[in-house]
Amino acid sequence: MLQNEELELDQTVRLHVYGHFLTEEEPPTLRQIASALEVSSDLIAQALERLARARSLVLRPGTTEILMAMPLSADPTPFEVSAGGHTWWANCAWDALGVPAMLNCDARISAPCADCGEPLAVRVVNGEVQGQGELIHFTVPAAHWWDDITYT
Amino acid sequence: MAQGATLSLEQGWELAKLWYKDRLRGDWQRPNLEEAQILLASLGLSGRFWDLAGGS
Repeated sequence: MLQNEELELDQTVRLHVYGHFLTEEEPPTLRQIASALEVSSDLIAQALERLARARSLVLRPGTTEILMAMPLSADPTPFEVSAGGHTWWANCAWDALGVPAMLNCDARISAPCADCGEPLAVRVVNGEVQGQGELIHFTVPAAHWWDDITYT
Repeated sequence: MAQGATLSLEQGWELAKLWYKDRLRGDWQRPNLEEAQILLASLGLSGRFWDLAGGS
């Protein structure tokens, strides 16, 4: 496959992953992507691996299962985001805000306080974030975010 | 609280918008290191902690 064709397929797969994730609240499987796009599973697997190498998606180690389509997480996390009748898990506090930023919509974010464990409720309304003075704490320096992205 | 960096909710929202607002565009590509560093710096996030190339 030519490089431009690979790039085009990667973009198509990436957008399909996000579309499915947003409507179904979980990422599509390899087979679902291949079926929806009418492309062989082998080519979809290669596209997913390229997207993972480019850090556009995160796959479960050693598989083609999608773990993260940032800011969305396939696995439950403490960061729950609700918008437009859907609810998703985000990878971290930054990513929780990333959901309404990506969708350009209002949203409600539920997360426990990292300091005391008390539940926090943050809203994004008309492009503004509303909270009660919450802080977002980053523990991993930027240079090491991708050393272990799941931990980060 | 553990060491690291702390942002206000408003700073986090600005960072989220810059980082994710174009994610659903068909032609989106992950920013390279330099572009990402410029993006962080535009919000005043600089210094060793925010050095993507490994300053800490």
